[in-house]
Amino acid sequence: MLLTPAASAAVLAAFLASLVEAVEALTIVLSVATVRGWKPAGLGALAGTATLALIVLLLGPFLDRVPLHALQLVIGVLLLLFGMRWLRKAILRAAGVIALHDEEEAFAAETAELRAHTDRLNWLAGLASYKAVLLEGLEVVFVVIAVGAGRGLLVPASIGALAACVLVAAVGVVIHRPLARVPENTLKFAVGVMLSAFGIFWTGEGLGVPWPGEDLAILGFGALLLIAALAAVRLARPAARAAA
Amino acid sequence: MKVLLELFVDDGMLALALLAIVALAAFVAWTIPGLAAGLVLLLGCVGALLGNVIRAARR
Repeated sequence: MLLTPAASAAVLAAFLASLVEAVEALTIVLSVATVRGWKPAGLGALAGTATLALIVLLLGPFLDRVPLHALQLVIGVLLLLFGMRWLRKAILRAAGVIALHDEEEAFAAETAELRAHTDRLNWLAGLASYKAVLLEGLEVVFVVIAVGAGRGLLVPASIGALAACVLVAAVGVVIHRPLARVPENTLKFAVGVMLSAFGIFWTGEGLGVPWPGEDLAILGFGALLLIAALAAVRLARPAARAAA
Repeated sequence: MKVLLELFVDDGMLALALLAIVALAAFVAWTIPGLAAGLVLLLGCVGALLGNVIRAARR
């Protein structure tokens, strides 16, 4: 089966965004497992996944009832805010304005936090695992809906997201360490560009803009955003040095 | 609610600028049918991002 450019972009965006979220959730689940054992970590993660599934099952059917233009506009604006937030942070990290996100450091901080509460019950550790899976999972669900719902691409976007989550969970189970070698900022940079491109496209569709090339316009927006983001890194570096 | 808001808003000024651009694009789409609103949206978002990043770097 051949994927259209929009479907391919939806699969890739959902896969990469979910990869980043899954790596962040895995770091916290592993911290809990290291300090309190696999039982609270696993139970918390399972409960988080079950809550997510319940949210999707309860709210999913409402998507079909929203008029398409309104759905495109709302999702487009939310995606624009979400994608630009990621892209801004990735640019500032690449330019050295803010520190890079370090999974080893996040793991150490979470572990120290959990060890500080030795008097607390295991369920508090499980709650940390639950919260991580639920919050990062909500972002995954949002990305899947955002890149997939406007053009009936929910299934390919879900497959991309599921593949990323299964991949990260499998690697995490095998190596039992945070995935510090995943180039998280590069991924965030790429995902920020893709999600912002989708956001501009859907917002325009919702406003009735006749984009030239229809779905192919997403690739053009992505290229323009990538050039602008790389230029922003080059411009921000000397400005940050001068301010330091 | 705060956690949900933080999914979409990191820097308040960038979020406000993007919402203002969408509102302007909606006005343009309503008054001038065609690609003009799309151009406002595309160039406005890119400009808002560049301006925000450079301002943050100078801080």
